[in-house]
Amino acid sequence: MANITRFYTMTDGAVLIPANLNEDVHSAVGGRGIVSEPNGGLDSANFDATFAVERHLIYPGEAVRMGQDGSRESLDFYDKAFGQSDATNFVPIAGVATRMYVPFDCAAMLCEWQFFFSLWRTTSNMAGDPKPAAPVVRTKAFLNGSPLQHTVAGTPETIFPNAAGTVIQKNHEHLMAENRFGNHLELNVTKGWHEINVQLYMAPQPGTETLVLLAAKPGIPVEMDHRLTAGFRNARLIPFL
Amino acid sequence: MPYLFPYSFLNNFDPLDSREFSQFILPAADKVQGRLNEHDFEQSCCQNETISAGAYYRHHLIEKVVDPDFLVSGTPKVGGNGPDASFVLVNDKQWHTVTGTSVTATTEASSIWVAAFVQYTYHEWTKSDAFQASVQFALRVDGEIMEEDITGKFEQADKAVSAFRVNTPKSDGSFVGARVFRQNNPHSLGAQHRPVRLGFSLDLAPGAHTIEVVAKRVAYPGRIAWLDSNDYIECHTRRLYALEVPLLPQGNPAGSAAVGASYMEDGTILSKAEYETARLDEVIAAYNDIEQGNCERGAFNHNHIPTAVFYAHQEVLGGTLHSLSSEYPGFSLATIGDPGWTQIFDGAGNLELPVQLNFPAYGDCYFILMADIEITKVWSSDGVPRWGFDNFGNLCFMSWYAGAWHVIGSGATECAFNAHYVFSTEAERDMNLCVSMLYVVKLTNPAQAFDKVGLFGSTWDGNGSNKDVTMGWRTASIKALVLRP
Repeated sequence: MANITRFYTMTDGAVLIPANLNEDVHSAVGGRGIVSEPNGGLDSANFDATFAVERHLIYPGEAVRMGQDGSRESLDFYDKAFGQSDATNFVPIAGVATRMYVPFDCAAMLCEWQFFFSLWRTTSNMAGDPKPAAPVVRTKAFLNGSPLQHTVAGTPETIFPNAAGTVIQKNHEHLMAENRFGNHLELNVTKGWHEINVQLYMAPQPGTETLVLLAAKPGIPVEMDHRLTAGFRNARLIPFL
Repeated sequence: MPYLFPYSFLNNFDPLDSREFSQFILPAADKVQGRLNEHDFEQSCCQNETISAGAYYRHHLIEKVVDPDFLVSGTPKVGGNGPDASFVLVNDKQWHTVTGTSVTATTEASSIWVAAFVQYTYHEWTKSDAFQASVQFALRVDGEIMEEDITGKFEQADKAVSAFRVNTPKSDGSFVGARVFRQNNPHSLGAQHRPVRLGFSLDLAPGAHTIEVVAKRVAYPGRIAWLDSNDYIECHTRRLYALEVPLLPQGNPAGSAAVGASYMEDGTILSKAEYETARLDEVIAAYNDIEQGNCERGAFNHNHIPTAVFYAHQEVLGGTLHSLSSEYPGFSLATIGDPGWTQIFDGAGNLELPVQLNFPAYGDCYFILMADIEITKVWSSDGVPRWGFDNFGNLCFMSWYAGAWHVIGSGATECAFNAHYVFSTEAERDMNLCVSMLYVVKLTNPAQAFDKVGLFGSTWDGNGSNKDVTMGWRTASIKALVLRP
């Protein structure tokens, strides 16, 4: 209860007691003193019965704030630039990342990201039917450097050789071009810097294959690779008090 | 000077000067006449019931729910719920507003978070070969495309580089050196049938703003089927939600800030009436009955106001492959089983949110429900070869109350996607499509209380031979926010 109550009652004609009069101006006792009590002592008990906090009374950015970054230029990734293991070799996709300072603890923070991509991905072994699984190409979001395991997602196979493994029967990169949207809800966020980014791992394609291009051409020994091309992309953080 | 300190104290044997007595009163009187600020209030002084609707942010929501008539027409149908329910995109390579997703709002200087969802279908996938949908979606604000949000690439006519390297030149000299092979045009969404999620945040100047989802077809050179009357994109259920957060504490305070405590003129005879009744008690009364007009703009910060979210929760599963093959029961039907919906699960349990909220207490709040799932494959599981394009997977949210699962929003949360990649005979290939769902609803008061919310799936095939399609998934998450009005 922070209502200010008057401590001293004056009586006309009586001797004024300065110390008591001062108590009603500035006091070390809570609920007393018109100068001292407002210094952080006012609470809901002081509000008028109709008092309501409306938008002009809240300092900006104290309930919700948001930060976003993005990129427009296309970006190519090739598997030869990646290590042999996906344990530590994820590489950030530039543009699907943002970093912001959250100045106070928050109940929740929504992390969102979105990136368009298409890719060239096929099996490493062209022969046989069915074909063995293609080496992995995965994306994963990281919050403050820690992987968000529920965001791990593979990518489609797009290049389909024939049963003999000699002809690229179909190139479905255009069919499988995808806009990958993801989000994560982080709870009990502590104040400080926070960063979200999406990273990519491409297992290197081993070996050399002999195949024929889509056009009817003689066999050409080629070294197969993976390529992922990122298109328009962005990421944002939205902390909620 | 944010804090208030006494000008002086009265001591024994001080002369009783009316000017000095004024100085005991007037700084406090001055402060309460519109200058109360963040330093004057205790932590957590503002309770939930004190916060007005719209104090933290304003919500903008628009949606159009469309029954795609899956089980009626065999394939998604034009105009599922009437002539204006679906949106058909014109093939003129220009951006067009997706009707039913446009919000116009007059804002102050604000930051705005926009989240959108569109279910589209491409009416050409039954052709003899695989055509890409060639459609891009984006958010547009006041006529300006939010480019980083476009579901495509900057280079719309540039062929992709084939990712192989010729090791040995051919004897006829046709492949010599580091030749770059370019093939098709993956510049826009390829899937013939899938939901699309969009999101963006930006700052807005004061004034009226129009926020909308737009779409355009992107044609590549040599596309001969462009003028085919069947070659078009149709949007079914779609929604746009925007959260407008003020950047400046603007607005007009209500309530009087005036306090009847005036300066004591020289010669005023000090008395109980002059000092205590006419001045001290007036100031005390003002501090004990604070109205908006007594406070500065932006008087409250995060120390004073309660949380912006009444509920926030996320559940995840992932890492192992699972599948379902129950047959889609029909639009807005909550049938569980086969035919019917199957809850998305993994080895540890079902994917669901333990809401545990007394939702009736949160009338007029906004319930934002989201889910992401990695669909590894959708394939013919009956061994009957057919186009993979005709194999469909469906997802929806359901809520649990009164001992049963119920459809949320009369089918508004349903979305569908097809195996847009290969013949069913190549079903062993990875699709790995990430489907992201969004549903936003304003809870009416009293709102329906429910115990949990789950994510469900089903399958069907466009040829009408049911119970022969399976879809697999690996990682998934479901999350919800309940934001105050």
